[in-house]
Amino acid sequence: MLGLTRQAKVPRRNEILKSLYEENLVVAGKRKAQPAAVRRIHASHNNSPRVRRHPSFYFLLMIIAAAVAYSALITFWSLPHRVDQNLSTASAAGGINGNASKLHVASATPVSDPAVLTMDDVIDSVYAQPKPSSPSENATPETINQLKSLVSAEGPSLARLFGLGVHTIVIDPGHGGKDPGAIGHLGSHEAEITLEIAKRLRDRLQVYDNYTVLLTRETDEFLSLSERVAFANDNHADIFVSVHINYYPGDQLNFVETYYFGPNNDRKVAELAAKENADSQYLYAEFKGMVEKIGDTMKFQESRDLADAVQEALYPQIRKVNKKARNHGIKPGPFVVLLGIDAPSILTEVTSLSNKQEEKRLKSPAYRDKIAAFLEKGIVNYLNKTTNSPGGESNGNGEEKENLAQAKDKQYR
Amino acid sequence: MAMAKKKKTSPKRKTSSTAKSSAAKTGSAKKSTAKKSSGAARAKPATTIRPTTNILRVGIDLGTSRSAVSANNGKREWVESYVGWPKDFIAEKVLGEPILFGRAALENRLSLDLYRPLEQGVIKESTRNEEAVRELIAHMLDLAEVRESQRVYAVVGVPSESLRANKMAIKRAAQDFVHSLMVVSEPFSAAYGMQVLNNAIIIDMGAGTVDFCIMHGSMPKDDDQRTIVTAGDYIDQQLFNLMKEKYPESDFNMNMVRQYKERFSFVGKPKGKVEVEVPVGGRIMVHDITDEMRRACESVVPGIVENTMELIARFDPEYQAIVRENILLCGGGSQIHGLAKVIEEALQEDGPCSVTVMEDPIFAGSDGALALAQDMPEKYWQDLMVEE
Repeated sequence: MLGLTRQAKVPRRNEILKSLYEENLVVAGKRKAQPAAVRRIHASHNNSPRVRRHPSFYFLLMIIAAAVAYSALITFWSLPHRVDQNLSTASAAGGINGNASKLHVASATPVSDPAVLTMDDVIDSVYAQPKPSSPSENATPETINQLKSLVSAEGPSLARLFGLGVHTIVIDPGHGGKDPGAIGHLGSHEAEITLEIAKRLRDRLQVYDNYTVLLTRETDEFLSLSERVAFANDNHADIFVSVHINYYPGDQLNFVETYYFGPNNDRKVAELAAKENADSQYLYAEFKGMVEKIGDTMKFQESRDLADAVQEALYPQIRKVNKKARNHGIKPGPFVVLLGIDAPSILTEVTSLSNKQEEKRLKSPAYRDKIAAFLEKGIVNYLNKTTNSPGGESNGNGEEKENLAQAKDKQYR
Repeated sequence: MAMAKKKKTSPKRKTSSTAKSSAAKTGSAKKSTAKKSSGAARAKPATTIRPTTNILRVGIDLGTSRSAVSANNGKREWVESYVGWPKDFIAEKVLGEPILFGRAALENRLSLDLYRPLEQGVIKESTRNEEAVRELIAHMLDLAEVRESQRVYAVVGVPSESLRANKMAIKRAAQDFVHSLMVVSEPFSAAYGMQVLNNAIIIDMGAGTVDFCIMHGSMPKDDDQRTIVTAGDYIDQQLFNLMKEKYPESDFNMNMVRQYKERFSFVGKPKGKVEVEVPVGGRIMVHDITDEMRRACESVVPGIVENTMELIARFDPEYQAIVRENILLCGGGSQIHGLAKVIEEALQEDGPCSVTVMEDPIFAGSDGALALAQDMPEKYWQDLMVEE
């Protein structure tokens, strides 16, 4: 007998059969497909009766949500700068995970605007915990609200919020040495191609002067994942880009995809809020976890943004030369090499070696250089989005970088 | 369509327009081929058999690598998903068959136009591949021994990706042989057969795809299902590449590599050395491919773990601990030695977790499809009658 938790009686068996029947009616052309918003039942509402709403209800809901989010954002930016200033101080002094007590004391001023409480309202409704009667010396629930806003994966990037810049870029050519990675039909090794692309990418990024660009390996040598992680952390990488090439069975497919550090689970934050409301004595200890969480969240946000920028620059260009290229987008991935690195990190599969046409192209140094240029463009686009680049560069300077990148593109073409 | 009704009373005589003349002559030959040489395996009867009536309910699992059928007359058969037509009339004369399936097709592939119509979870885009699917379904019904007078209600399980991309093609392929038809995704049918319908994740690892399906007490929608293509065929390709690198002088092909995988696949700690006999310059040599086998098989693990983690995170947090204990691994890939344990260990880094391998992976999909066919009310079948 399997060790599964089976359901002796499945209460919704008839509904399942009916759903299957209705789906097949659609397949058989005997019924039109219903709008997704009507058909969907969320996993968290297993035992709730199905509620059918008109699509306009959801549209209205979206508008309200957007208005609330906008209001919260405006409120946050107009608040006294106690939290972000002190967090900035803490991060500048030794990183986000630094002095929790400094943050704790400095952020004790209550917040008056109810819009900031929206997130807490949601969490409270889940946990139905009573509010603390007297937070006294500990940080107030409002402070927690501030932090919760900060650790939310949505909204403005924490790196931008704290004015963190990028100094060191570590590029990781995938595989190497005894691990050749994927091998194409024509015998090309992924490790050799990623190394050359990485070198060309380094050369391109070094033109900007502002960054120290390092490669995890310079030759065809084997490096374990932990060695790559250690290299990035020891060199205080601010962003980490691992370059790989996909391989799929058959030679028809060419998937371009980028993974980023993730997923981010805000459950810890919700639990913290509940505990804080119930018993403020635990606040100080939990605060540390909260601050650490900010670090995770920042890494998540920035990794996602970096992945997005790289994928956006990469895929359309690959698609231009290979019509079979398919955009598999960006997705969080629990790769060791992404999880272990302190900095925002991505792993990009720039093209597919299994595609024979693509493998032929990859044999050409010019094409490898083009891929390096696409990656460069993505990284530069990401860097331009940060308000505080090294040396306090402005967006104007970012535009210059963009122009420079475009000029270089033309040159390499 | 005037002939359709007549044909449906005897699915084994039904065949496509291009093959029907010869198929009609060799209907019994096809059946005997399937039994004797197509690689079809007779299995124990399904545990719950309803009395045979004039309606035969069948569940078909149309897989990339293997297809299986379970019927409520107790028949359970499987066949490798290969369909082959003789290349010319000489080949047809030599083979004595207008069409071959499964192992028989594979073994005579040099004389055949051979098709493996479902690749990476979808029907390959060509008329011939659609026809191959059609013939395969007809063959599965032959194996189920449909009687002349019986009406056929069929639930066909297909890879999730195929369900998304080829709904109409599958319907077209099956509708000439059955009276009423439903199509479902394979992981869902397996879950239904196991009655694991709530707070569970099904991982169905086949040859072309790994399908993930979350069960939360209702019919899974597109968002509840995922498909990745790093599955059995991907392992074959990886193993082929690794062996080619280690033994560049050796002569082997993908079919041989697939057989090595089916015999020796493992992840984690090996049970012993994996040694295979491979020709080198005409001489048979023994090659140690232990490390290559492990690396090839482990290449699929990150994708499975990643997607499973993402799907766990989609559940309501309150139910995630339950879900983590209800991860079910099925499909041919579940037979890779140590795979469930490795996935379980990887997921246990984030908390307690249990990955269970389905007891009968070959028939899990078809048995589940049959269970659906049996539980489906008659009214639904009536509404889904194939138009004639």
